[in-house]
Amino acid sequence: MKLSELRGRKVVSRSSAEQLGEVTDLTVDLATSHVRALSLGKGRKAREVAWSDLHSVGPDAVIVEEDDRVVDAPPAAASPVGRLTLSDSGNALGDLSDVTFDEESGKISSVTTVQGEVEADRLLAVGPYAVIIATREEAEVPG
Amino acid sequence: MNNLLLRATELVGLPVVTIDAGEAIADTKDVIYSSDRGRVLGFTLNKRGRLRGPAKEMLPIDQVHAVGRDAVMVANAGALASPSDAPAQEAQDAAGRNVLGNSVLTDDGKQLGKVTDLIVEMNAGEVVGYQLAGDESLQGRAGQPLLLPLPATLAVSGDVLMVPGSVEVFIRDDLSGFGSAVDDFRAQLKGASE
Repeated sequence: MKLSELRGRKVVSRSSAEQLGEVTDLTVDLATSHVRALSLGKGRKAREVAWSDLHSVGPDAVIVEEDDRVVDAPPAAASPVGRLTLSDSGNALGDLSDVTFDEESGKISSVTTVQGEVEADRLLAVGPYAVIIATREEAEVPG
Repeated sequence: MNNLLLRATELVGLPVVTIDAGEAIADTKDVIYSSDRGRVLGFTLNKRGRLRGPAKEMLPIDQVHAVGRDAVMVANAGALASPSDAPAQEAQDAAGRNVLGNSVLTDDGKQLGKVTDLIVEMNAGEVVGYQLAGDESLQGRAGQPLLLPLPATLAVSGDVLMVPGSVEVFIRDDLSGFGSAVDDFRAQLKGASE
């Protein structure tokens, strides 16, 4: 599944049936190549729910066990989406537009850049300036 | 090997980005160049953001992972060196070394032009050529930027750079093919001295 498909889906508590918000974004754990958390809301009011606290990701709603699993997003947690992608050889690949992941496990398979899909194992860092991508063995196409 | 030729002025103002954290830790301010050794020694830096301005630290060339069109890549924030760690000449800018604006004279006594930029081969950190504002003596090329291959060694005085007269046929107009012009010129010089 892609983040672009999940964006706007409502987040509902399993225990209270309350709607807690809508998915706006996600953050990633590069060490494990998994989705770390889904974000609700934007900017300073951003809140999030950890992937491990999800009960299910359904076609119409994301179900969370309890209301209190939606917490304030830590300031350091940044989404890779919309960020500049930069190869480790110093060439920009355009902005990162989407993330593809397994909706059961949260395992990230690839990200989408202006120049196409990049496998998740080539992601080296998600930083405040750029998402760093390992250069493939074959030569880069000069742009 | 794919040798990456860049103009030194294109290396100015690039972000210095860490590979481990995706963070821009500085902008390049100038290329530090040793004219006697023909080497790029590193970069002087500007701070980024609200504290914009010259940074105390410099970036030694051996800490550079790669130089691309959009960024200078380093492994991590530890790549920057304080000027006290760097050799004295590394703490100076290329501009301070006064190569730009110098006249290039062949050993046949012909003036080819004035240096407007340095052509750097970034994999080796070597200055392989100069971009010149060509003199009128170069028919049909006056006013056009010229790319002049440099010999491996070069005589430099206060404001004149002396090059072999045979260089003239290796002058190019653009960077594509300039790498092989440098190789051919140097091979020819080597052959002549043997």
